[in-house]
Amino acid sequence: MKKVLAWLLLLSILMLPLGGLAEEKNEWMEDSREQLVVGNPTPLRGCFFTEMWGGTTSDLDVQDLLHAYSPVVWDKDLVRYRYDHSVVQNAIAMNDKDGNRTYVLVFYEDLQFSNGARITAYDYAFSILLGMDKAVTECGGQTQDYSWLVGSDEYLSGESRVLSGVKVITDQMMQIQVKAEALPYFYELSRLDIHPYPIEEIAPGVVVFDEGEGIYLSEPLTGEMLKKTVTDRKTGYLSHPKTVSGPYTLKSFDGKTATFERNPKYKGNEDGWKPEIRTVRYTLAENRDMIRKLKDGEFGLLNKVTMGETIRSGLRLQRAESGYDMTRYKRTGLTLIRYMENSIPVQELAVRKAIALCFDRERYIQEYAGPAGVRMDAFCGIGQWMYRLAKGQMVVSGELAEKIGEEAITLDGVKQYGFSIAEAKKKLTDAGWTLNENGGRYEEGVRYKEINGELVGLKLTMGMPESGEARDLLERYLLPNLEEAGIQLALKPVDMELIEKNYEGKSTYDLLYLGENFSIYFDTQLMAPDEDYSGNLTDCRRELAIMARKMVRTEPTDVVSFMKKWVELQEKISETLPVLPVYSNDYFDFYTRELHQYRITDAVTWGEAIVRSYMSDIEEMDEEAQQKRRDEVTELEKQFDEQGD
Amino acid sequence: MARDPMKDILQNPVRTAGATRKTVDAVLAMCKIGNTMVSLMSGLLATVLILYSSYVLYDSFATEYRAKSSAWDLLRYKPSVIEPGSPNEGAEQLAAINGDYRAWLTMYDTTIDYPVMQGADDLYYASHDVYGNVALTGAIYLAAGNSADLSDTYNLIYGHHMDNGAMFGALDKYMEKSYFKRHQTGIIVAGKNAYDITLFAAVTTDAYESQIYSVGNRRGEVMSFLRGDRSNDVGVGTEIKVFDAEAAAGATKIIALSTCADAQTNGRLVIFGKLETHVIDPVVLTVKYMAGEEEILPKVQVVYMPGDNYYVVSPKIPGYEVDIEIVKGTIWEDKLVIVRYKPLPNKLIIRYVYLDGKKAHETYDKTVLTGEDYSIDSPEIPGYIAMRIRVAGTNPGRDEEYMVIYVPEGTEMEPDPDTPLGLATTYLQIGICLE
Repeated sequence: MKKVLAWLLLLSILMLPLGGLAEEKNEWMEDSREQLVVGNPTPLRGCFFTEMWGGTTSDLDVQDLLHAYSPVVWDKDLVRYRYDHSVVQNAIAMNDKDGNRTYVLVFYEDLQFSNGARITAYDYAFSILLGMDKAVTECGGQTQDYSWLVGSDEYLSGESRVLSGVKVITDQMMQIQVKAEALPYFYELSRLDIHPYPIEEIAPGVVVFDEGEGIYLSEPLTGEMLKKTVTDRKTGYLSHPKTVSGPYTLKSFDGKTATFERNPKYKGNEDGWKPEIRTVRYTLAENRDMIRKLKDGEFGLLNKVTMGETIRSGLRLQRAESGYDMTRYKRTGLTLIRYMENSIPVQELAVRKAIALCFDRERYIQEYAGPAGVRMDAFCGIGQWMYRLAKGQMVVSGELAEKIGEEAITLDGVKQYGFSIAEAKKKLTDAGWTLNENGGRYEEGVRYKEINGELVGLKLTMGMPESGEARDLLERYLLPNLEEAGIQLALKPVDMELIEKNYEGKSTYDLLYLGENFSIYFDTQLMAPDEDYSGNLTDCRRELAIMARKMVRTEPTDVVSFMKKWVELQEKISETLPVLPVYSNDYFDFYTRELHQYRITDAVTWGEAIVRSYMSDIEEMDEEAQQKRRDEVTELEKQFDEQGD
Repeated sequence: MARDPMKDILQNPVRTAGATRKTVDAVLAMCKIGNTMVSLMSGLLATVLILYSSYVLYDSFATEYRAKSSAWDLLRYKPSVIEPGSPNEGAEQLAAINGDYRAWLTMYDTTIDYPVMQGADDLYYASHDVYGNVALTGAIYLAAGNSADLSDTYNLIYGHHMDNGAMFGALDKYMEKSYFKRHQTGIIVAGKNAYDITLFAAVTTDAYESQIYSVGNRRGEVMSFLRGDRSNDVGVGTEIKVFDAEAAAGATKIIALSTCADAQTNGRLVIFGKLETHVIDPVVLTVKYMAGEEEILPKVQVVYMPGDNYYVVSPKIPGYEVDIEIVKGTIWEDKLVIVRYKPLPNKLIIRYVYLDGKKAHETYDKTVLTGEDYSIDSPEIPGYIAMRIRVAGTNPGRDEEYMVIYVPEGTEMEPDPDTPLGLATTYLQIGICLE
C-alpha cells in the first residue's frame, strides 16, 4: 500500500511540471487574445467624468467606456433620441394644464455600479443636482443647463430647498418636469441624457432626499469637497473614477496611458452586448511611427487617423499584408480658427475676412489630410446629418422627401472665401488699415489703424495644440500670405488644457486653431457672446446665439423647419465669420484583423464599438472579398498618391 | 539433591522471591540491551536501505525526468512545419545556443520529438545534453560521419533507450508490427529543408554490424542488406522484425534511428525510414455555428500550416448559450468543428401601476426564450387609460420588464418618440470636444 502511495506521490510530483507547461501555453494564447492596445493621435487629458470639465475627443471616447445607462439613446434611423429599453422599462410624457411636460421614467431593477451597488432613481437625481450645483464652477467646471426644469430658478436662487421639477417616486421610478416655456425643443429627449454617478465617491456622506415635494441634498456640495473627490489629479473621480457604470472600469491612468478592465457588473447594452476583450489599453499614437507599431504588434487598433501621409502608410500595409483592416468614417466636426473677442483687431469683420482670404486652405488640406479632407465653409462636419441632408447625401423618404423637395434646402448660400491676397489687401485698405507703425502711410510690413485714438497694429497671436502637426503647414500656407497682406501672425503652441480654457473663457490669444467635434444637439452656447466685450464680433455672436436658440425651439418632428433655420444660421456664420471653418475629414481606423466585429461608424465611437468586438484568429477571405478589398485599397492609394504628387 | 528453584518459589514464594528476582532482572536487562541493539541495528540497516533505495529511485527518476523535462524545455525551439526554403526560427535559436544542432526529428504521435545534434565523434552526445552539459540521458544525435545537412543518402541517428520511453525509448515498440503500422510517419526539419519520414523496417541487430553502422552515401548497400543479403551478419545477428516493401519502394534517401536493446549488451534496435522532401499543404479549420438545424452565423474558415495552434473565438450572440466558447488546439489536417447555440430562457415581467407607483393589477410573469414572440393585452381598469394597450414584441435575449402605467382618463399625452420621421440611416457622434 505504501509503495502504491509513494508511486502516486512521485507521479504527482513528476506531473507538476507537465501541468505547468500546458497551463503556461494556454495562458499565453489567451492573454494575447484578451488584450487590445488602442492608439490615438489625440492625447488623453484625463477628463473621464462628464463634459462639465471638458476633455479631448479621446477623453470623450473613454467616457463611453466608463459610463452607461442613460435613459435615452440617439437613434440614427429615427434621427432623434428615444428611450433605451434596456435601461427604462417604461417612460411616458404627459402635459399638465399649464403646458409643463412631465416625463415618468421607470428604470430596470438590475442596473448596477461596478462595485455591485444597485443603481436607483436617486443616482440619476444626484447627477441632476450635481450638474446644476455652483460647487462645480468653484472647482473649475461648468455647470449644465437645467434652466428648462420646473423649479430650477427657485432652487438655484436658494428660494426653495427642493428641486420641485424632479421627483423620485420609488427606487425605480422618477418624474422630470419640463417648463412649458422651454418647449418645443428639437432635441427634446436629449434633456434626459443623464448618466448615474456614485454619490458616495463624489460626495461622501451626502444623501439625496425626496419627501414628496422634489429632490434635495442632505447637505450642500462645496468646491473644496469636489476638489478632493473630483478634480484631484491623482485620486479624483474626473481622472481616476473607481466606481462606474459602463462596460469597462479604469484600472490605471498615468496621465498618458489609460488601462481598462471589463466590468463584470455591466448589464450589457440595449442589444445585449457585453465586453469580450478583458483588458484595453489606450494611449497616444504618433503619426510618424503608428503604422509601424501596428505592424509590430504594439498597437492592435489605431483610432481616428487623420494625416494623409499616415493614411497612405496604413494603406500600403494593408496592400502588403492580409492581416490588417481599416474602416473609413466621416467626422462629425471640423478644424477651425476661432476669432477671440478679447482681440481688438479681429473684432473687425474686414480683418476676419482678410485672414480667411489669405489662408490657402485647399493646398493646406491637400497636404495635411489628402483626399480624406474636405474644405469647409459651413460650421459643421461632413458626418453631421444636417450637412448630409443639405448636400443630398441622405436617402429621404415619405412626406419628408416631398417637403424637402419643395423647400430646396442647400448650403449654396454659404459664403466662400477663396484664396486671394489681393482681395484681402483691398478689404484691409477699405477698412482703414492703411497706416504704418509711426502713423504714416502703410507701404509694407504690418498695417496699423487708429482705433479710439490709439494706433493698433495687425500683430496677432494664434494659440494652437502643441501636439498638432499642422504648424509647418500653417507656416507655409497662411503666415507668409498674411505677411504679404500686412498681418503679422505668431503661432503659439499650447497644451490642450490651456487651449480649452482659452476657448471657454477669457483668452490671451487673438485666434485659436483647434478641432471640434459636435454633439448631436447643436449647442447654442457655442455662439454665446462674452458681454465684457463690444464690437462687431461680439455683436455678431449675440445675433447668432439668438438664431441658434430659435433654431432649436422647433418641434422634434419638424425636420424641415429645423433645417431651414440651420441653413440660415450657416449662411449668417459665413457672412459674419466668428469662426473660420478650415476642413472636415474622413477618419481612418487601422487594426489587426484579429479584432473581430469592430464596427465603428460616424455614430458609434470606438469605446462603444469595442464592446461587441473580440480577438480571434484571422478568417480566410473568399476570392471575391479579397478582390474587393484589394480594389478598394488600390483605389484609395491611387487617390492619395495623386494628391501626394 | 538438586533443588528445583521453581519448585522452591512455588512452595516458598516469600523466601525465594528476592534471590530469583535478581537473576530474572539480570536476564531481562541483558535481553533488553540485546533487543535494543538489534532494534538499533535493524533500524539503522532499514534506514540505510531506505536511503539507498530512495537514492536509487531518485537517481533513476531524476535521470528519466531530466530526459523528459529537457524535452519539454526544448519544445519551445521546435520549428513549426515550414515551407521548404523559408527561414526557420527554431533552428536559428538552437544553433545560436549550440552550433552542433542539425535538425529537429519528430515521429508523429510518439514521444520522439527532439532536436538532433552532431558531435565530433559518436560518443560525445551519448553523455552530453543539447546544451553541452554532462547528462546520462545524452542527446539525440546524427552520426559523426554523416553530412551535417542530411545530404547523404543514408543517415543514422542515435539515442539512448530510456525506460520511461524518453529519447529513443519508444523504439522497442516499433518491433511490433501493429505499433509500427500505426506510427510509421514523421518529419525531420534540417535548416531550411524538411523531409517526410516513412518507416519501412524495424530490426534488431548488433552494435558492430557495419552494414548498418557505416554511414554516408550507402543507401543501396543498406537496402540490399535489409532486403535479405545478410550473409555476413556479425555478433547477435540481424533480425528483420517488420519490413514494409510498399513503403520502401522508391527510397532514394533513407534514415535509421538506433538505440540499445535491453536484452543483450551489444544488442541494438533500429528502425529505417524513407526520406522525401516535405511538401506542405495548408490545412483549413472550418467552424460552423448552428442553432438546431440552421446555421445561425456564417461559417468561418481559417487557414493554417499543419502543427499550428488555432484559437477561434465563437462570436457571442446575446441571449444564446454556446457549447464551445473558444475553438482551440493544434491542427494537423483539415478539420470541421460545429459550435452549437441554444436560446436561453428569459423573464418577461409586466407590472401594472398607477402614476404614484401603486399597484394597479396583478403582475404578469412568464418565461420566454430568446427570439420568442409575445403579445399581452393590458387589463382594463375603469376610469384609467393604460399607457400601453398591449405589450408585444420579440425577446431580445435578456430579461424584460415592463411597467404599464395607468393615467386618469383625459390626461394629455405626448406621442411615443420611437416613431420614424422618414430620414434614412444617419450617423452622428455624441459629445462635443476639442481636438
